[in-house]
Amino acid sequence: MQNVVRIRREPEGMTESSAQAAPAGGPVITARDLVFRYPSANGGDPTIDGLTLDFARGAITVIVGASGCGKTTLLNLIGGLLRPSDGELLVDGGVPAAQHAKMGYMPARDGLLPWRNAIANVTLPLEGGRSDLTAKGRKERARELLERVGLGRYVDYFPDQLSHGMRQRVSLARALVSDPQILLMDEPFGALDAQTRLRVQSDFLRALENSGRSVVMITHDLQEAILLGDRILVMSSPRGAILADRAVEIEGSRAGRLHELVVTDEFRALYHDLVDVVMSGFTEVPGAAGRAS
Amino acid sequence: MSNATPAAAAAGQAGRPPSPPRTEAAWRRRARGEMAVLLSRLALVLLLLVIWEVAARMGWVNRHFASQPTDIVVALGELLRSAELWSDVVATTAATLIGFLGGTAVGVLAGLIVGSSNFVDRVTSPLVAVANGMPRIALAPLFVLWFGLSIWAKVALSLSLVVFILFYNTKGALGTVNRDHIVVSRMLDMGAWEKFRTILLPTCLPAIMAGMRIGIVLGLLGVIASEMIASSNGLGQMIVEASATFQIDRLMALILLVSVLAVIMNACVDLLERRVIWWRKDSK
Repeated sequence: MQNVVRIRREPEGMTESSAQAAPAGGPVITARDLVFRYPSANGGDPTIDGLTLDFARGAITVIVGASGCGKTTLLNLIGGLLRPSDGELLVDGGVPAAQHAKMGYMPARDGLLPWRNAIANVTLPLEGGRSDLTAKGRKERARELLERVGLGRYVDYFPDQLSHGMRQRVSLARALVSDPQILLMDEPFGALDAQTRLRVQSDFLRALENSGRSVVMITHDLQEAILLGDRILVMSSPRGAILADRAVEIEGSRAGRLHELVVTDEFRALYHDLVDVVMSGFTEVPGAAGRAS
Repeated sequence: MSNATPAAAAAGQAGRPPSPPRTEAAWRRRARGEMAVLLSRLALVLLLLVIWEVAARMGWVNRHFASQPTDIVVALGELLRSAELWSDVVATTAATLIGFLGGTAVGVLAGLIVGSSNFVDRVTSPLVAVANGMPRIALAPLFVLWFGLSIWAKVALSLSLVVFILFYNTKGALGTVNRDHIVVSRMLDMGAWEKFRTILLPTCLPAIMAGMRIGIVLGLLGVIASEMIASSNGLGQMIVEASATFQIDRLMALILLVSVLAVIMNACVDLLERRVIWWRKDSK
C-alpha cells in the first residue's frame, strides 16, 4: 500500500486540501489582529500579539508549540472562555461565547464527572434544555456514540473503573454527542501511553474523517500533529507568533493506518522539518507552564 | 493472615475491603482469614475484661473506683429493665439528631455561600475563626439561661459544635472543584442551578459526609455535656447522678450505653455515606 504524505511549504490560500472534503463556506474561525494580555501580567508582554489567522471549515487544524507559547490561550479564546484584549475573533461569524451550542470540547484530562457512569457523562451536553431529546432519546444517542468509539459494553462503568484510553474515548463521545460543527481539543491524548494513543487517535479519526466537522486541536506532540492534522500551525512564545504553517495531505483514510504512516519517509521528512522550526523558535518561559495550564 | 494473598493483604492495609476473589479456593482462604480476624478481636476483648475482673478481685485496683466487668453487667441489666432509661435515651437521641441535622444544614449552606465568594470569605473568616475558637462547652450555662431546661439548650450546644466542621469541610471542598469540570460547565453554558447540581454538590459530598461522620459524634458529645451541666433528663444527667451518688457500676454501664449509641449513630452515617457517594463504591 502506498502512503503519500505530501508536504507543502506554502499553505495555499485557505488550505485547498480541506476545501475539497469540506462543505462550502468561508473559514469557520477568523482572527484579525487578535491581542490577548492576561490581567495579572501587569504591563508585561501580551501572550498573543496581533494574530491574524483563518481556520478552514471541515479541516483538522493542529496547533503545536512548547508549554507557555500561548496555544491553550488561543484555544480558550476560540472557546469563548477568555475575551480578546484587542482585535477580532469570530467563530462561524459570531462572538465565540455565543457559539457554544456549535462547539464540542475535549479537555486534556478527560474531564469526566466521576459520579456519573459513562453513558450519563455522555448525555450531559444534551441535558438542561440543550437538546429537544427526551431522557430516553438522550440515552439512545449517547449509547450510539459510545458504540462508535468502541465502548458499547462499558456504558454502565464509572470513570474510575475505566482505563485512561477508555476515559478519553468517553470524553470524545461526550464532545461529539451534540453533533457540534466545531470541536476544540486541548492535548486530548497527551496522558496516554504510546500504544493506547495510536489506538485512540485512530478511533478519533474514524469518528471525524469525512464528517465535515472543523477541529482545532492543540498538542505538543509533533507526531500527533502530522498524523491527525490537515494543517499544522507552529506557535511560539513570546507573543504567540505563528512560526510555520504546513498543510498535510495523506491519500485515503488515515484511521487504522497510523502505525504504517509513522514509518514512511514523507512522515520523517515532515517531522524533521517541524522539529527544526520548533527548536528555532524555542525559548523557555519561566513559569509559563503554570499559567498556560 | 499468613495465608492471605499479597493483594488481599495490601487492600486490607488500605482499610478497604479487598475486591472479591476469583476462585473458590481464594474465597475459602478469604473466609478463613476473616474468621481469624473476628475470633482474634473477640479474644482480645475477653482478655482485657478478664484482666480487669481479676485485677479488681485481687485488689490490685480499687473496686469502688474502677468497678469490675461482672458488676457492670449486673448494673447494665438493671438499667435496661427500668422504664425511665428509655425516655432518657430518647431525649438524648432526639436532641443529638436535631443538633446534628440542624448544624449540618446550616454549616453546609454557609460553607457553600462563603465558599463561592472570595469577598464574603475574606470578610467573614476572622469572625468565624473566633467563633470556632470559643470553648463551646463553656457556653452551656448561657444556653440554659436562654432556653431554660428544655431540649433547645442541648440542641444549641450540639449545633454549635457540629456547624463549624460542616462549614469548613464544605467551604474547603468548593475550592477543590476540578478545573476541567468548570470549563465543561462553561462550554455547555450551564446555569447556576445545573452547575450546582451536576458539579459543585457532588464535588463537596465526600467532604460533607466526612464532616457528618465527625459531626454526629461531636453532636452527641455536646448533648451529653449540656445534660451534665444542667438538664432535667437525658443520659448525661443520669451520668452525673450516678457519679454523685458513687454508683460506679451504674456510671460505667451508662458510659457503655452512650458508646453504643455513638456507634449506632456512626453506622447510620456510614450507611448514608455509601448511598450518597455511590460512585466510590467499588473503585479499583
